[in-house]
Amino acid sequence: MKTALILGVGGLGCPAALALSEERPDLRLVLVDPDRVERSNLPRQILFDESDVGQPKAVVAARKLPNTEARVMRFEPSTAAGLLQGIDVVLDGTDDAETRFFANDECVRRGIPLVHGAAVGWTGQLLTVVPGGPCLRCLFEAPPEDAPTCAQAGVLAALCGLVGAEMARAALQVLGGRPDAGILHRWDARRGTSRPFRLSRDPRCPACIQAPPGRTTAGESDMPITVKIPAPLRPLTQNLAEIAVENAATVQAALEELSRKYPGLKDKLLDDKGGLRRYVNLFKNDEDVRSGQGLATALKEGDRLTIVPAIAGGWI
Amino acid sequence: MDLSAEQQERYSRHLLLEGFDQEKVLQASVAVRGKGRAAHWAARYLASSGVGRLQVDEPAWRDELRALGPWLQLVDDGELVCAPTDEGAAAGALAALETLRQLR
Repeated sequence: MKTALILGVGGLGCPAALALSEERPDLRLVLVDPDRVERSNLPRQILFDESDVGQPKAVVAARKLPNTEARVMRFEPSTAAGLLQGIDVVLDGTDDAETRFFANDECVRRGIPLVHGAAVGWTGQLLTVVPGGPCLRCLFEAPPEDAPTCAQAGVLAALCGLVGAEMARAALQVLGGRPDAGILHRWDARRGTSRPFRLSRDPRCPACIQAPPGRTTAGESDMPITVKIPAPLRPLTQNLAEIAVENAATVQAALEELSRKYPGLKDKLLDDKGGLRRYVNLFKNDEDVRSGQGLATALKEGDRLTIVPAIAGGWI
Repeated sequence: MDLSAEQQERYSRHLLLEGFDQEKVLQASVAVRGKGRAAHWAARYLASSGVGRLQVDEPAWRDELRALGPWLQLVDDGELVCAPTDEGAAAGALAALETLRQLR
């Protein structure tokens, strides 16, 4: 049984939990919130009504939804490890930037997919963070100091409903193995518009540096460079067919990084003068690097490098 | 129409929103079309946002909607039509949002 951890049972956590529960009753939900229901919460926190005012949010919500457990606590350094144990996806609908960045860092560090949602005023946003993809800190290095809160700028209840329901959809996509990763979705409810922004990973991101190595999501752009290894070379790569290489600006740098990880490879790919062996073809995406600048061909994140052995004999 | 102290507290986040007219919402009359999940979500958010009169096609939602909107009247002749064009929770919330946009 899969388990989703929902941080914050407020304007976003309520609709996210309700939508997940409606769509996937078999999914186990763990609801985390230290706060109690207030009357000003009610328009957007639709699991609650007047009779719930003063009760702990997580407990009330868990009573109303099946297969759900309450944790009346804050997500913070002393509770994070316990709360994240055995969790398949995290939905963050908390209301302060510090907790959001902490949740981002913890999920990235532990390789747990995270769906980040936010709504304030007339604006909503959503970002799915998966291992190897851009994270919240790639986008904003640190919590903003003067970001308006809902208590200052107000927030539209139905916009929270929309973002919360979209968070549930994004979490189900993660669990289904097809995450909507690396795209920041923003809604402008005043204009009635929404826009996707494709994000890139920041190679200097302080959160991503702590991510577990070798975890990438193949097929997504904005990822490190992926090198495809042909079957004859896989004995040298512990049978890996794909290897992620980070921070390689050129084909040469990617091959060096690859050789550092798997020392046997270098001799197979490069001749004793350091040039590309004659019988090795290298394709950047779908283009032979020999038709570009050879080993000096530039690479960017998301590029795919394919090693293709010559077909008619002569393979080393 | 003056908001009561209880209404001011309940709808305080809407009252802070520039360009949102809570009084107009409290006086609005909306007909939600459909009995599916999207219509259910639209009705929930219209009720919780304070829409004064609401018409729904599914009688089973009535108790829940009354709890979400303490001043809500359930009627048979809603005026402004809210008809989700897609299925699912997000489509319902979006339809509610579009209806509220028309009440500015």
